[in-house]
Amino acid sequence: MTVLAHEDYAEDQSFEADVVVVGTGAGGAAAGAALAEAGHHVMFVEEGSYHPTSSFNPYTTQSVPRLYRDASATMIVGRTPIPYVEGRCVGGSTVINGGMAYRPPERVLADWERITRSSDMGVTGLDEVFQEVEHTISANYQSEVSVGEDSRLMEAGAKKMGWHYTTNRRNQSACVGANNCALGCPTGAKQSTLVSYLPRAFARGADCLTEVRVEQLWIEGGRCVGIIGRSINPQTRKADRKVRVRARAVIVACGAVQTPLLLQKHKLGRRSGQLGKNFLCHPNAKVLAVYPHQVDGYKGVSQNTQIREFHEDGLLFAENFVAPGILAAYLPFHGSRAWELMSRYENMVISGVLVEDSTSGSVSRTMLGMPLVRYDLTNLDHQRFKRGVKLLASMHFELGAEMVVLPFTNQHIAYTRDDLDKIDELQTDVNTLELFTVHLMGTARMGSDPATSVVNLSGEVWDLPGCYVADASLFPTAIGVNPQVTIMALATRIGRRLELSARAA
Amino acid sequence: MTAKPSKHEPLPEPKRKLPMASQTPALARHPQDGWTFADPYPMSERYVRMFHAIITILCPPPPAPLTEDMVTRIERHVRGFMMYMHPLAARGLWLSFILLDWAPRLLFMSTKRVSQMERSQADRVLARFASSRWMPIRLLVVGIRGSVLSAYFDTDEVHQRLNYKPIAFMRQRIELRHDLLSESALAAQ
Repeated sequence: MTVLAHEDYAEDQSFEADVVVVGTGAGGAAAGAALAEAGHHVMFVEEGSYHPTSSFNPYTTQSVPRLYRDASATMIVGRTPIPYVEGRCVGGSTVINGGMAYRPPERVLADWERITRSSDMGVTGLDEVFQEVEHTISANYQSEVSVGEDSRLMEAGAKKMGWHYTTNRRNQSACVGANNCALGCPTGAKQSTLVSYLPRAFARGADCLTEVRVEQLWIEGGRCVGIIGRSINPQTRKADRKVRVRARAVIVACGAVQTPLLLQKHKLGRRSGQLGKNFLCHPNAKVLAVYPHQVDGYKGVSQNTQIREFHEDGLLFAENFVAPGILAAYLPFHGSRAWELMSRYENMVISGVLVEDSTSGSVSRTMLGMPLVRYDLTNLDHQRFKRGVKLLASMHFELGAEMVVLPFTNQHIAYTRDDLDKIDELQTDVNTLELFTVHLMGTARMGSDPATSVVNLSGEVWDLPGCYVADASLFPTAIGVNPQVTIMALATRIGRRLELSARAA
Repeated sequence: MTAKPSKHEPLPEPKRKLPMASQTPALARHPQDGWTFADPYPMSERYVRMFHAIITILCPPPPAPLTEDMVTRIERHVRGFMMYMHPLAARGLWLSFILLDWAPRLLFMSTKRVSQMERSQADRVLARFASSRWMPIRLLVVGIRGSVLSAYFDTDEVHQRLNYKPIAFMRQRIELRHDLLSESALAAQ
């Protein structure tokens, strides 16, 4: 295995490989591993750096710049603005996600089967590859020792309210609940691609070029034959060394924002007009409860439980305890009020409402190369959020919470259930809602018709032979659950199909 | 677009060894992970002083911990973060600092800039901006407040006061996992 970084590249560096994979997250790593295991020379190209498990620590100031795209200063604009985060490191967003291992609900896969007109995209068609992914990332339930008090409270709350809840399957092997999922798992238990797919690919001869930002595809005679990028000097952050990789096939797996951005540079997807459209993001709202007793939410795994009582209405509730440095970034106060709230850190339960999109947005390229991500929340989703926040906050009060911090700019604190009754009266404007998101999907949708989709069912871009997409941008619709397993499944299949077609050729 | 074909070259020898997923039970940054923190975003002395004043206003007053050294560290961290942002976003944040400082004068709320105000007055002004009905004004405060408070609440001094002891906890969990894996390996044998 060779992992190269900025200092290893010449001023103008060229490489060759059988397949070049742009991105090492859930999609890139899974597709690359499938190809490497089939005997192809795979070269991963990653914009971020390589950080091993032993380097992960609980400090936000050290971890966010090295693991998150743009140090997490990324925002969806629209009615209302939504901050979003993506991984930028070897392992991509799987290094910083919560580690949920869910398949999409059957109704979603039935929709996909109908939209793509392919039984391969349905429940039965995807079952085998889902099983394989779940095995590779060790999708299973948490052991008792790893579960924290905040998860137990959520469970108790669901029982008290008579709500249906499930314990989550997570991609973990002997997880002990270090609760540092968002800043990199320090025990190596979370089976991010850094410790699952990538070592498999490296063991079969794959290489990885880190600190290289791919700026354009290399196209010759109407076919994609490689990538052209520049390496970023870690000290100055200037992209100062040219790196090119020539390959027989290129897999683009940069996520639902960066993938369309790269393809748009070459004016692809014109026939369907769908490139960059159909952007989906599962917006989340935070509901922070302060209890009279010590919870110590950081001692135990994040998101052991999900409340699914309202899943059919597009609502999910979960807890997600994060380090004070992350929580503080979203505080509604400063100065002494911030301290007053944060000094109750050990009494907090951080929970959230996730809404399944009822609309979609878009990703486009601005003149200065920055992505413009647009998404306007619908009135339906606004109502769903109000309902979800009310229900979740009621549950916390039912459990004895002293106060709940609400995600509304004009109504931040509720001390009693009566305060929640004012939500309907005060929340008439969607712009007062404070949201964030981590699930970005659907901007290069897959399909069997070039007039309505960007890539075919093998992941190949309709109007650029040799260029494949293997990430969340493939999703035809929102899936309503955490997307990593679905991304890995589709990417594995794309890798296999590419391998078969290469063999046939 | 066309580019001239590359000549196949063997991969160069990496200049540093980057081990995969070792089980080293250390929490410090791995000495070989190749990480170099970028130089801080360039700012003149005058703006650094203005930035320090805004940090002091945004951070909690005593009894919460806040020393000169902490203010400098927060400033360094925020300027470090800016180097990882898209250059336009970093420039935008930088302009927001300046705009926020001048906003009371620009909006005819005061003759002083935020950085020149007494803490109580600045506090009131910032709270008013944060709850403004005009979203750009609100966002002006939200972005800056988020980046400053995130760095503040990430310091060891604050962790100690919050009774948040992540290092000790993580060390204990790493050992626990090590023991669990050793036990299961023994059982398998």
